[in-house]
Amino acid sequence: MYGELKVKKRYLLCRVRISSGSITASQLYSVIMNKLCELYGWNGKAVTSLKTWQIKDRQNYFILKCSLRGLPYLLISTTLVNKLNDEWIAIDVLRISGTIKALLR
Amino acid sequence: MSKRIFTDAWLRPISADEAVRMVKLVGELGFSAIAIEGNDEIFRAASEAASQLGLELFRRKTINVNLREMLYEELSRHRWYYDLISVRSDQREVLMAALRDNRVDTVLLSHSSAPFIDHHMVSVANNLVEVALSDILEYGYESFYRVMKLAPYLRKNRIRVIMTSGASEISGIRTPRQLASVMLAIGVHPDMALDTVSGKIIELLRENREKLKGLLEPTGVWRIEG
Repeated sequence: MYGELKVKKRYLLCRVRISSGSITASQLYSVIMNKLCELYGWNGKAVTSLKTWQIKDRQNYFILKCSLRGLPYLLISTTLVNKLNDEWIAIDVLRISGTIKALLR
Repeated sequence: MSKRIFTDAWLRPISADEAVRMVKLVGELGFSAIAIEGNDEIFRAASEAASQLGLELFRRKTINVNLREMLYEELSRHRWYYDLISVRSDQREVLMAALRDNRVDTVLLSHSSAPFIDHHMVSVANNLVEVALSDILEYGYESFYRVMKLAPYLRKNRIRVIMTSGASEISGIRTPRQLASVMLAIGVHPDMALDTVSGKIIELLRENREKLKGLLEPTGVWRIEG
């Protein structure tokens, strides 16, 4: 019964390649959310429940957190992101894990 | 469980420098084999970079025609010089001919002007159907809708599909898992989605290389040096 209430999470280690050089976590969040909304609408955004953090001292490396159910939505969204304010951008998903500890190992 | 050999079967760099950058990035992202389309200079530069990184490199040609006669002419001209021959066309008749011709390796069906796949095309399909990420990035919904039409046939194993990046610069390259996510998004099982970037295509490329070397007869007989 309690198992149904627990939402499983997945953490993604991402590297962003962008023509201008760097990007902030909030910019990354909004560009992924816009793509997610374009592809799956509000439902997709709600199911995915995305959070982004920048890794300390490592420019353009981020940790994304999403629900397990929203993982396919997030993967395709990161794949199809290719523009941010007339600059090219590419998001590389380097690793996927269930815990941050394992992700950064 | 054996380790997957991830393959990006379509990179088309515009210059030798770009080719080197792309090969390095592809190696970094986890691919073990790549197929490059380009002139001799591009291929030579890519080949040097690939050998340093330990990547398998193959040469590819995409034939873009809209007449069946021209397709046959191009095939007879190019087949024995390239490891991978792919066909791209707007005409259903040409695509059907390409799908059943044993000189063709893959048929591109993801561009916005490609006809929708139907059961007539599926019934004659001997070759791999190719989906290029660059088409989806360029044409958006038009391309994605065509890819979605492949899903029911792929789920029933009626067609064999491969996923390629089709990148002409480093901004178009993605990790193998991200390439497979396109298939995941159209409702294909995760294992089957990963198979579209590994497995079938590398076997085909290696077989074609042996055929070009003369070690494998087109009929499938291996020549063994005594």
